[in-house]
Amino acid sequence: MRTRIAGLALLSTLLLGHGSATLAHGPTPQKIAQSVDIKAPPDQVWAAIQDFGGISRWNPALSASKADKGNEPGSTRTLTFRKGGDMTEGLDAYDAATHSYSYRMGDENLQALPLSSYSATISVVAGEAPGSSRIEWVARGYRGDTSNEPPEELSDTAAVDALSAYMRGGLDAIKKQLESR
Amino acid sequence: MRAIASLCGAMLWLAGKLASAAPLYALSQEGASLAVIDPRQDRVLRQIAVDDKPAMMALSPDGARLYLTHPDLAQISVLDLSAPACGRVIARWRIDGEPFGVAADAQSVYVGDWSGDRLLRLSAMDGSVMASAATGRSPAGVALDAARGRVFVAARESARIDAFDIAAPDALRPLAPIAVGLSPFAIGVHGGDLLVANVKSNDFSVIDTQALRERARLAVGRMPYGVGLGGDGRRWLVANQQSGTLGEIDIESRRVMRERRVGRYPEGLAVDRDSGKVYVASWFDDAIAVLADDAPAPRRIAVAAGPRALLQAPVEPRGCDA
Repeated sequence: MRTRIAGLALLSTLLLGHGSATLAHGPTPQKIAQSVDIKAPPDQVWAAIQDFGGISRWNPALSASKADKGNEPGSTRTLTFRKGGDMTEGLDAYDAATHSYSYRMGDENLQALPLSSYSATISVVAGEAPGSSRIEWVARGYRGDTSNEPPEELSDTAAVDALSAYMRGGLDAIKKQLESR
Repeated sequence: MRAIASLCGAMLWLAGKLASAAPLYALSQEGASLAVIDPRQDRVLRQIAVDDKPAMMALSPDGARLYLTHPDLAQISVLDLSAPACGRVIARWRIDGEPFGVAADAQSVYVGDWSGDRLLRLSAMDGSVMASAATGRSPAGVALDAARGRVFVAARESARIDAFDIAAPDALRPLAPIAVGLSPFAIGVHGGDLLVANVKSNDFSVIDTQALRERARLAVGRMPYGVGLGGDGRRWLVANQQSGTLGEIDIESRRVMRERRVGRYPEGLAVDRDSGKVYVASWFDDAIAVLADDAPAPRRIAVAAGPRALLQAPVEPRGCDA
C-alpha cells in the first residue's frame, strides 16, 4: 500500500513537475510585509500606484503589465517579468477613498515568483511628517512546493525572500520616482 | 423541600460559574505555542510550548486530551490537559502523510492527510490506524457530527465536502459527497448544520448533515477562513481573511447583518458559551481579537506568532490555572 502511494506520488511529480497550483496550502502560511516612507502627500502617492494594471510603471521587476477590467474588482492583471515569464493576479477589492487595493495570485509561475499561492494588500497612509506618506504592502503566501521536503528554491525562506525583494524593489523605485520630481 | 430547591439552585449557579470559566485554546503555528485564555478576564493564563508548526487541533469530548496536527513533521501531538499534566505532551504519533484537519470523539481521532488525499481514523488509545478512506483533493478542515455519527472533510481542490459514516468502530463508510463553492477550507458542525467557508468563491455553504445537501449558499466577505455560531444561536459567523472582518449572518433571513473589523488576516474563531463574545485568530497581527456585542472595536490579546486555530474547552480543567 505504502509503495503504491509513493509510486503514485512519484508519477504525479513526473507528470506535473513541481507543485501544481492545485496542491497548495498544507504547510505554514508566511507573512511578508514591506513599507516605504515617501516625502509626498498621500493623494500624489496613490495617484502613482492606483492603476491596478499599471504596476510595471513602478515595479522594476516587471517589463509589462495590463489589466482586463481596469480597477474593477474581478479584474485580472497579467505581469510580465523582466527575467522572463508571465503571471496573473486577480483584483478582489479596490477602495480609492482609503487608498488601498487587495488582490490574490492567479496561476502560479514558480520561475517568476516561487510561491504556490498568495494574497496581498497595498495601501497608502499619511506619514508622520506633514505632507508625507507611507506605502504599506502586506501579503500572506505559501511556499512553491508545499510537500514536506521542498527543494531549497521552493522553501518557505525562498518564498518570503523572493516576494519581499519584489515588493522592496517596487517601493524603492516609487520613492525615487516621486521624490526626484 | 425548599432547602433542596435552593441547594439545587445554588448548584446550578455554581455549575454556571464553572462553565463560564471554560478556557479558550489558541494555537499559534509559527510560534509553536498553545495559549490558554480566560474569557472572564480576556488574558492569557499560560503559554504551552509545543512541537514545530502545529496547524489544527481537536479536543476529546471530555476536554482532557488535545490533539495537534503538525503537517511538516508528519506528526500528531497528544496533550493531556488535566491536572497534574496541564498540557504536557503524552504522545507523539507518526502519520504517514501531511496531517492537517482533525476531529475527535472518545474512541477515535479523524485526521485528513493533505498530500495523500485521504482521511484516517486513528485509535484514540495509541494512534494506530483503524481505517483509511479516499477523499477529494487536498483535504483541509475535518468536522464531526457526533449526534449523527458522521465525519465531514473539506476537499479543498475538489470543491466538495466528503461525508463518512462512523457507526462501525473500525471503519469509514463513504456517503455521497456534497458540492460546495470553490476551495472549501474551514468547516464546523453547529446544530444540524455543517458550515463551510469557501475561500476562492467568497461564499459560505450551509449543509444539512442528515440529508447531506447544501441548503444555502451565501455571498460573504473576501476569502472566508473561519466559521461559527453566535448571537445565541441565531447567527452564523464567518471570518473573512482578506477583508479583515467578521461577518454575521441572520439565520432566519439569511442576510449578512453586519461585518465588523477584526484585524489583519483573521482565521479560526470561537464563541464563549457564557458571554457570547467572539474570539478570532488574527493571524497577521499575532493576536486574538475579542469582539463583544456592545464594544465598538475589538480588544486584542497578544499571542505567539501565527495564530490560526481557536476552540473552547467543554469544561474547566481543574487544578491547572489556579
